[in-house]
Amino acid sequence: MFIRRRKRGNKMYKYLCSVEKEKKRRPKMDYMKILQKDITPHMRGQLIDWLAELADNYNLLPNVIYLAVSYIDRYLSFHPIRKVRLQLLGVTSMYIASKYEDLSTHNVETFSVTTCNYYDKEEVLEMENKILKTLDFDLSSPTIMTFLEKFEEIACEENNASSWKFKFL
Amino acid sequence: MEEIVHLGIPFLTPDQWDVITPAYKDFELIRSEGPRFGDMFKCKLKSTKEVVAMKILTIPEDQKSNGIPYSILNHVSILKTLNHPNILKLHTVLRTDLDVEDVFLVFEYIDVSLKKFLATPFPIDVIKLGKPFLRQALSGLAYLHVQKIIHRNLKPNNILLSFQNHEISKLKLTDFGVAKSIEPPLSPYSINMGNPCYKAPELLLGFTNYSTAVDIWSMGCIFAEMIKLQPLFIGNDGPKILTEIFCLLGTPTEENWPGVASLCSFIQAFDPPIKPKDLAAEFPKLEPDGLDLLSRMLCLCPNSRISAVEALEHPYLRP
Repeated sequence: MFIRRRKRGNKMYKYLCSVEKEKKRRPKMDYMKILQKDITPHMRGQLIDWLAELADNYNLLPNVIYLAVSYIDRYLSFHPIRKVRLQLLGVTSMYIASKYEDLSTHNVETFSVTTCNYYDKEEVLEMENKILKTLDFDLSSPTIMTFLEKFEEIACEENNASSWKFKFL
Repeated sequence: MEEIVHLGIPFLTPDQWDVITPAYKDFELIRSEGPRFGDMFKCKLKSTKEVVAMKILTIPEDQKSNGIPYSILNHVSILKTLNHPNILKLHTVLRTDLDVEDVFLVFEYIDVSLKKFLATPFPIDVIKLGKPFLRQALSGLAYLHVQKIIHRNLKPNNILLSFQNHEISKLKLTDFGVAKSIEPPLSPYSINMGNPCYKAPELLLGFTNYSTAVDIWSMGCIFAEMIKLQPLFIGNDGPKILTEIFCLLGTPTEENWPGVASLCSFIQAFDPPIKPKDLAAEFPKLEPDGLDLLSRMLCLCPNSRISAVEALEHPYLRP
């Protein structure tokens, strides 16, 4: 039984790795330099810090933020964006990720309010459409979280430790 | 609008018409599953003349204000991750900048559903087809389950077949409208989807922490239906089907399904429990190995039910 479970785990792990490497799920490496004229890596960092805070305030599942960041990077790999629209991209990616991952009941207004109503509901929905078109609905993607969980599983199996011990590592 | 009615396709609204006619022609309705799951129709790609199947997912009126709902995000993104010879391939997702909110899915086209095939008056020797059918269907299912996706709505309608020289050349599982990826944290799942005739007993009893075994049960029912040429359990609601299941397979007891009594108190009312019928008498045409596999797929306890990967290694399916 144990060996069989290991074998299946291995297959799953290989599959996850192959999915992660798929080109369509990866942002381009140098989009900041080549494509983006108005934004800088520093602004992206600030945006993500703000999103992390948002995720905390609204008690979203941990994976939501990782998915949102992946959507943001993939969108930025294809479309140049102006400084003033960057936050809209961030908040909308977060909205899609939370709908997809969290089955959350937060509606579009909640997310529009987080930007102090700087962007209205219509703008968020319009952005949602653009993002989904760019990502071509490829929303599920293994994230750091997926792999951490996998490693945690393996670690628990080998050391017979309970999983909460690893949760805090 | 007049033109559309003239062509015999009243199922498209003028807006939808504007989106798909630039690239597609020759529309023909295949089946309609009501407003919730959308219509499926076949059409031709103008550029290559390739025949494709198209499905329109419409956003329910009350959810429009929140953009694309979870059900559609989930449905489409699951379809996008799937790539297996026994699963209907999604070619493209059509979205436009026009003011149309629907999502158009374009699939490969396969001739008949199993339901249609079984309804044909003199089908080809079905017993002979049982083995290749089950092998292909289970390998599609095994692929899904390895990726931790539960289909949750397997029925003859959702299995498409194409034939060559009286043999199944292609078998594709389709309709992932209520499919679900199992991801932690495991929250209770909905039990209100799918056709009750193919629902596993744990779903009918109301357990919300079910797993991939529900698909195996459905597949067992479908396999039995192929052999019998009629649905194994007939009825239009849960309790009726549950009664039929217990009549054929006996009532579950604490021995063969540990924990069932604590989750479902009325089971103890069956005292003494109903004895299972002899499957060999029910399916006289099926060989012993086939019977053994069928009984493992129709095992009442979900934890002892055979998995898709194990079933593929069963003597009955070994080449």
